[in-house]
Amino acid sequence: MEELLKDFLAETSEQLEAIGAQLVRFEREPSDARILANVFRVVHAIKGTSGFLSLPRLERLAHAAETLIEGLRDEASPSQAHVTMVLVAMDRIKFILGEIAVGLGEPTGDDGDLLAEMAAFGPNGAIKRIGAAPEWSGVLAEGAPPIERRTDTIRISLRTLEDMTALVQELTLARNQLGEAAQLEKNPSLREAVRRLSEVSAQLRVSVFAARMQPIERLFANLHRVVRDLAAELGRKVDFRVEGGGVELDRELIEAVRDPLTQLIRNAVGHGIESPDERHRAGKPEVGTIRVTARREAADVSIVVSDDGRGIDADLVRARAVAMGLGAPERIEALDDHEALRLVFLPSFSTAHHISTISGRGIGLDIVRTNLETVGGSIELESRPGNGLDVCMRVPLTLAVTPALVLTCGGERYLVAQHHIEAIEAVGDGAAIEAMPDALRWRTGGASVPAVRLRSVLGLADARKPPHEAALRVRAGSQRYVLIVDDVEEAQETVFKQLPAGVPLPPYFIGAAILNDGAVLLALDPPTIGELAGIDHRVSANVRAAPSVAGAKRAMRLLTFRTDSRAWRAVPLQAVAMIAMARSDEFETADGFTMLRHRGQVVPIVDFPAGAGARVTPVIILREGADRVGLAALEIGEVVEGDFELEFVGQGLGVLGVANLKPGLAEIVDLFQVMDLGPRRAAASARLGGRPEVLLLDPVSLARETSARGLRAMGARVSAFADEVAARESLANGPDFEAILVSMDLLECRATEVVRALRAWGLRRRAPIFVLASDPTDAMEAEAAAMGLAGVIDRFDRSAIHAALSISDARLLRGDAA
Amino acid sequence: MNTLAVALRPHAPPAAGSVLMIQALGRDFAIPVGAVSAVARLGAITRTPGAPDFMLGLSNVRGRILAVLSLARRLDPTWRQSDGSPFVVIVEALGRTAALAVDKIFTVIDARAEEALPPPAQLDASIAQFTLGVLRHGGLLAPIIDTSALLDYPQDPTGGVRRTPDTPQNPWRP
Repeated sequence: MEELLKDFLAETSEQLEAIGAQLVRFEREPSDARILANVFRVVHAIKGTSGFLSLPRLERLAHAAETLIEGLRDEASPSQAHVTMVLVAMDRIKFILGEIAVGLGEPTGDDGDLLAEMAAFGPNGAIKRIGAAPEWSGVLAEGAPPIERRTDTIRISLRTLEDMTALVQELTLARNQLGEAAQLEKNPSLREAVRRLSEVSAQLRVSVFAARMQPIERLFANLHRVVRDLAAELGRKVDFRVEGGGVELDRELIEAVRDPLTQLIRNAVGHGIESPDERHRAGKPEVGTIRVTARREAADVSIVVSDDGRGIDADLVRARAVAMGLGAPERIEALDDHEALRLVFLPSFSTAHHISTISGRGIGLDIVRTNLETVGGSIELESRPGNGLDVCMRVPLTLAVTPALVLTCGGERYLVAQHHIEAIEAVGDGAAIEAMPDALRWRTGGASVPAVRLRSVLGLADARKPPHEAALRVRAGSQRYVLIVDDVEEAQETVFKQLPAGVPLPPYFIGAAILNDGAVLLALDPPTIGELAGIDHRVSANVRAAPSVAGAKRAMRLLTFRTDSRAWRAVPLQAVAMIAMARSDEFETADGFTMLRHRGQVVPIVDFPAGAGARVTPVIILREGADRVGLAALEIGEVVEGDFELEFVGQGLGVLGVANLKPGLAEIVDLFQVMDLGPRRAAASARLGGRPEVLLLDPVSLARETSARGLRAMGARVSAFADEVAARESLANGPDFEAILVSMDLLECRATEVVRALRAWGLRRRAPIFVLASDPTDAMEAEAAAMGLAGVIDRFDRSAIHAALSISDARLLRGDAA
Repeated sequence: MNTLAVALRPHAPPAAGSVLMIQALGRDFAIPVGAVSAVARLGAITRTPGAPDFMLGLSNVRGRILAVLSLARRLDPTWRQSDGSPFVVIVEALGRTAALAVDKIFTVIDARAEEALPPPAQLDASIAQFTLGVLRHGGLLAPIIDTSALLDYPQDPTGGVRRTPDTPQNPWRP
């Protein structure tokens, strides 16, 4: 019975979490009987099981809720009050389940108050007794998917999972230590055994970490309710949409992100979305939209909360910052909008005043930022004053292994988590450290950034000056500064351990890790170092920030890296499957390629510069469908964001061209050409027959160029433009297109307008319109279908593009689309 | 004197039991075996800038990261000689664990109740604050270490106070 009860509690709480969101959706889409059927089914199951388990209070409540839900079905348009009543009943059921779960048994009480209120919604104002609810059987049998019975899964306790994770981490360390020792031995069978052990432990690690992953949908389930309740309370009308619920995240991170995300949603409803009147006066639809989108980007997950509310006015933020004395006025005035918006994350900014004058956005943002940073995440704002705000949170996929840099200072080695480091630069070489009266500054190419010398932090200022120094560009919340160290040795994947109780250490050490060679290294805490140096309370002016482009909904994010001592290269971040920190023993040669065996994957390396592979080498793994190729790098730079133009067209193989990424030039990698340099799992997609005419619309120029090149290489004739207006201007009497590809970036801003314009163009044939997206989701597919579009295609997958264009070709031949 | 140690220290002399005999500061000490979790060989020590002088650093002791404390420097802050033993005594108290570096590790002896005496008035004051009493066993006279007092120190040696500028070019705010 005990086991039965445990299973019942666990399953029921999951199901209740899921149906909370469904009920809110039902209020919006009352015609969808399947949602109601799902809710009904869960409540019906609770009623049945609670009877079986002798939980009379729960049984009585579930029975009344069942009746209430049945009443909902009979209403032509369910009233908000009726849905609210169901939600209140669910809350009471959850409360009772909670008490049972903590071992208190079913709490006393008869819920008389609630049952009376619920009865008021029943047919003729009285709760009708229902038996097996025969009216529902049709719905249950017809459309609704059956309740998922996962006979191939078992529940394990979190404790067991945590123990397994810890053991795998220990195994990884032991494997690494053995690997280093084996390199010194000549015994080939020992090395083979170590290789096999590496492979198995890597696979084991992947499996255990996979068990920790959960779909982010779990986070989203409660948000519908938060939005609904708050909007009702404040008199706002909000259409709440979520995308990317299938993206998976470490369970620990899901919990860490839950509060920040809820706070952001509350801010969006409470402070972003205007009242219906105000929206009406501003010429906006009365119903505001809040959209939460989760995407996987390399080793991170981004969660963007966008609203079409009033946004934040950067001028007001600057004025407030000056008034509060957060820095020298001239320095604050010199901040660009992007930098000025970062000021709202300062604790003093958020809490000192109620800042409703700038949309009241400051409340709690510093706490949101701090919570995210404790798990290695970050947060950025992009405001469209008067038109809305995008808040982008980024968190790593998993906490279990942290990529870190090993650096030296005063003869000792230290670690710093890589997510805090934006770039590594050498002192000299046009950059210098300047001693100001009260602080150090790092000057490079006209920019000046606060700097902190690690030797001073550690109290080693009197020690002999090192022969050279290295500068780490640190990002820690709103702090941007340069940390000057003696040298940077290498990057390693490490398992950070909190220091055991009783280690008397200053707060600028956050933990320690045992390296492959068995040495213990202390881990630095960049936010504390910055705080001690007073960085947080100064406006760190002139810190490099990627230019943001007005009008473009989403600029392109590029990962920069270096493959030789001079040239920087950049690749679209969306095309990066992961960045592997590869050990020298993970590289092998096969089929004429250097192959990387990493975490159970085998990836051909198409660019392996001299000097790479000596110790730990960062390898950028690019994806196209199921194919992967790797580019070994000497150094990973920062991620820059913006709408960059090609200054020169690329001459070399695999180079799209050269762009000015400000502050430097970089070769933009031609993704498709680079993919073709590697061996394929299947034959590459064939050329398109008949050289189809394709119209490509994409506001982001590098993305447009990449897609156009790929399409031309497949044999298409491509006319590429930023948007439909530019296309019409150039193609007044243009060719008849056989297919139209429109970037999601264009549609996200004004889908209806673009599609209507394309349809009204009066092209002779009605070419199918496909959406190009970096990471297609089911929600996108559904939206595209609802708009009558032909489908959503992964922009980085030529076989998907080929298939779509071939189908459209066949359809045209048959005359279907005429 | 440390308040926690006073609170923990019994007014009566310590009960008899097993003690581990060690040497530090050139003299003998006894550590109650109940507070000792292991004796282990000491590997490389990672220096820890900003830590108190009695902390020698961190070490990987059988896969655990532990603070290595010099018993001699903890008992006498002016002591500068290094500890001689290649082994450390791992002690636990107050929910904390640390590795004690000592000069020598001898043996475990079973003490009788009458062999444990209250701390004599002549005992050096800096040592007295870390002792539970004195063991008189055969011809041996050794202070009994109070590991609770030994491991009772502030976790943050900076006391949570921002450091003041100490060098002309330092980056700290005035």
